[in-house]
Amino acid sequence: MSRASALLAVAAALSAGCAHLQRTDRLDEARAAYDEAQEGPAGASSPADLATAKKFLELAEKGLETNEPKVVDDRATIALLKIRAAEALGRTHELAAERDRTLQLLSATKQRMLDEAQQKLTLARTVLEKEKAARDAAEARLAQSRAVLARETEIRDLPEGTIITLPGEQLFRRGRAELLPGGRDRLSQVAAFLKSASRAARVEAQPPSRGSRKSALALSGKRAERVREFLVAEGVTAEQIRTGPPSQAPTRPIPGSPEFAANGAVRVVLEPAQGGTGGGTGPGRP
Amino acid sequence: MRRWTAGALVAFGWACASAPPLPADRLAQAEAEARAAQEIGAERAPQAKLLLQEARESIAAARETNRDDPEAAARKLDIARAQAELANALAREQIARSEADQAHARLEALRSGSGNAGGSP
Repeated sequence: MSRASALLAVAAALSAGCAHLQRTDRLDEARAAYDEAQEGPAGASSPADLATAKKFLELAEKGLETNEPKVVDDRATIALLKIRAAEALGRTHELAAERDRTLQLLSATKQRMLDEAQQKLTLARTVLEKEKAARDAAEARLAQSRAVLARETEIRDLPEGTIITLPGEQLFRRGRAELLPGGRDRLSQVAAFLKSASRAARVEAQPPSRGSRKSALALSGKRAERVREFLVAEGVTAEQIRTGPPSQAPTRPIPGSPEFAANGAVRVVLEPAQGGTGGGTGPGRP
Repeated sequence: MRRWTAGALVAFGWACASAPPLPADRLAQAEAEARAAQEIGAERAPQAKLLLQEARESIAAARETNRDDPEAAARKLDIARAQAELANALAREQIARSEADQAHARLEALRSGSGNAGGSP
């Protein structure tokens, strides 16, 4: 028994003496770091650097054969540093890729914003051109209708507006407020002009110089209302035109036209445009 | 007295002759890697700065160890080189992170319409 025990003890001692080093803490750390690195940025973005690190890890594993923990630890330290470097390089590659993607997005965003701005500018220019064309057309229509009206009607541009003066005898019989057929034709031209101008206007009747003062003023009021009704019937909007109070002073006679003062007159006053005074160009008939 | 002097000189000479120089190629590689890390700006990144310092200390330790254990000294030079390489890699990572952050900031500024997005990438 004692002999067998002694033999076993000797065998165990010999076995322990010949056993190689199996591991060190540093080597375990390096192994774990390598396994972790394979799953991270290094495995995806810097496999060549990680492969180099693996060779150093294998060298550390081989160092176990020397049975010298110091050698194994030094080699494992180098492997660990190489693994960390591979990870850092992997992260660097990913960051560079992220930077490039962001810069591309930045460039695309700039281009998109520039395109949108240009589209808005183009649209604004188109709208402005259309508006200008519409204004030009309206001005042309206004000038044309004024020219037609000015052939037989007095039109003056004054600070208070464009004043169209229609002698009473062209519109009414003496002492009456019903429109004559010729007066309707003349007022149709006035209506065309007012519609072209699209500005507020008022109708003022000047009383005849004959007859009583009271009846002349009453007649003037009726005539102004008739003229307004006719203009509205011709398409001038009711909001655009109103009647003004009849002039308190009798119509002044015009040299060479004695009937003018006798049957009164009607004035249509077109309010001045913003920044201007007239409803068109040209003085009209004096 | 003369005998003592002669003996000391012999002993010194023997000591010098018995300590092999550090492996020139490993030393050069470690020092070159440390210089590269410094030039790329490792001292501006805290982790990289620390590793660069460790690499320098490893080189110094290798010089001290060489007399007693040349193999350990050689391994210290390898460690120094790996430390400097890691310092270099961390410095590059810091630069890449900064550039990525700047690109993000420019994009955000452009989207919010308030920043200077016209700088160089």
